[in-house]
Amino acid sequence: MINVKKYSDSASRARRIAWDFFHPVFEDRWGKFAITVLGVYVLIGIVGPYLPIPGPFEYLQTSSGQYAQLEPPSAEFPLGTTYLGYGVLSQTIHSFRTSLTVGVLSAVLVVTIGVNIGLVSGYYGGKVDTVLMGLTDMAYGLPFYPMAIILIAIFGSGLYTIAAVIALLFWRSVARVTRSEALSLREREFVKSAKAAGSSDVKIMYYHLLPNLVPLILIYFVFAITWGILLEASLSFIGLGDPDTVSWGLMLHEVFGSGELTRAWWWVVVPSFTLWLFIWSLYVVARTLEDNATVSAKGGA
Amino acid sequence: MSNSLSEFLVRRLVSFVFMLFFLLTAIFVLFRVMPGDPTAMLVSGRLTEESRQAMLENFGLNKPLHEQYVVFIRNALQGDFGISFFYREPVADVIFPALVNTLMIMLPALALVMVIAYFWGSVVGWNKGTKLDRWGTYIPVSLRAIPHFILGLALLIVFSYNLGWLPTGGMGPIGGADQSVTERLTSPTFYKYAALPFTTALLHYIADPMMLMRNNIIGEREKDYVELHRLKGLHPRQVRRRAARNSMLPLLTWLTPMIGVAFGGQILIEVVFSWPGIGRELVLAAQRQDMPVAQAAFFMVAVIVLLTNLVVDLAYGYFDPRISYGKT
Repeated sequence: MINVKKYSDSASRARRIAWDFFHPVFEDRWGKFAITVLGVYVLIGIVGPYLPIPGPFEYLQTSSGQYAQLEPPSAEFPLGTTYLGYGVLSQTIHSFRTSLTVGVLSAVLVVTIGVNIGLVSGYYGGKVDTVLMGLTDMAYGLPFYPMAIILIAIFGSGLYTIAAVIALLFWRSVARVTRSEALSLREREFVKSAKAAGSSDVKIMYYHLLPNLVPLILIYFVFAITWGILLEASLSFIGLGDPDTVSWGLMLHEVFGSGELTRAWWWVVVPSFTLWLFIWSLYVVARTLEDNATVSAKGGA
Repeated sequence: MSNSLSEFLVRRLVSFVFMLFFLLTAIFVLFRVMPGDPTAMLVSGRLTEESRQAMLENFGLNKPLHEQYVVFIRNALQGDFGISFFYREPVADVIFPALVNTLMIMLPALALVMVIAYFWGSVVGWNKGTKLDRWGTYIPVSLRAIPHFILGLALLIVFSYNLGWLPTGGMGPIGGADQSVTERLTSPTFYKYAALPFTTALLHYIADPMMLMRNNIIGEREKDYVELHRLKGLHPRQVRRRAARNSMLPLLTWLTPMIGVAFGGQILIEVVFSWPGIGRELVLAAQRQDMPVAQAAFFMVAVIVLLTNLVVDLAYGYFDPRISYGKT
């Protein structure tokens, strides 16, 4: 599977491994584009709420003092307004932060849980492995969206709940891949010599093995961000998102529920496009990283 | 060989039963740690305290937890999930027709996805690096990055609202709700209603197995037997077909987790097209806090996913005699 150069000495190399691994994304035409898009998204996510624009749930008024309901895009209302008179532009911009927060938060949780379980399982093997992988198999048996819906119904909706639910369901794939990598790594010379030199298991796992897993963790980190963003959008769209936090999914939920799908094209197109572009860019980056990992394996490194 | 095969069968069946119990227990626990009073739904303000008590007794909610658990498991295994808080009718009567509605879209869509992925993936993989390959993979992969519901909304806007060719949602005209499955499947109107949800599912799922098939056949192309067939003078198409047959196994494995994923995707499609399937029922039950329907819907989906895993595992062994049933 994923098989990149093995660095044996220390955790301080993690950064170099990451760079070795990451730079092909910047050499690929689509990769460059995707990285630029992601940079812009992060920027808007950070500065968005401080821009001099109305709040996402602020009623806009026309110059004649009426509520600006379903106004098409114009100089006065760039990107138009919604059924209730909110600005589509303002809602879209505020949603960047929601998506980024959910995505990054869930990715951190997914990777943390998955990598630890995989590492312990693969390194110790035996009974520990059997138990942990049994748990992983069970997690695989759960249908994802239905489970998420049930958990949201029970624990209530909110950004943190959504991130937690994503983590609870997605650690499985990370754990499995980490385990198989750890299994092959632990047979290597540098682990044996570390063991002979008296390193503790914990030190071997986190100091000697973990840096070698950095490329893998990066790939899954990007994938997990994608899953997080998609899940938040989907749950919000079906009406199980956090109703007080604006997001592209919530915007689409509202336009769908209002029955204005045909008339208010600006209200549909804008959040759909931003969401799609985000996911597309993340996919491109993740795929390029994945390709690179397999190519270098074939390159005999 | 037959010995290890039966051992494998037993092991798979045991783990299936084990998973089933795990799921039921998880559902039981989850719905009891739920904050808020599950009976709040029942007390619509007009109910007196006595009738509320009677209701609780009806649903077995007044007994101690361990007894509730035993009752729950026993009933669940008999397909009895109690009475819906919302519909006030047996959950099974709500769930099973919904499940059938979901499968009516999902099974044909997945089947067609497999077939197209098999053929198209082997064609583009065989012609790797050509224009056909570039566009033939670029388009499905781009579609794949569009979330289900956005793809659904786009199709809905174009084909229903703008062109007016297809209905905007539901499963049939009002009044057709009491049709039987066979009546539906033989009526052309039904297909008009099913067209958009079906297309959405198809377009969304096609990319992954297709790319998988493409990668497999690219690897297969290098093998000696392919060269041998070529040297023997077989038509290139025949050579490709033989290589394709040998690279289809991963496609079958792909199907296993896909059933679970498809149930998830189906939920969004059903919401967009108001298709009265089990996913939409689950969403509605979650919003209404209709505990019995939610847990039954979830359980049904999970069981189907588990069953598929079992069947595919067994089929995998059947299709590839090289597989040993040793420890995996």
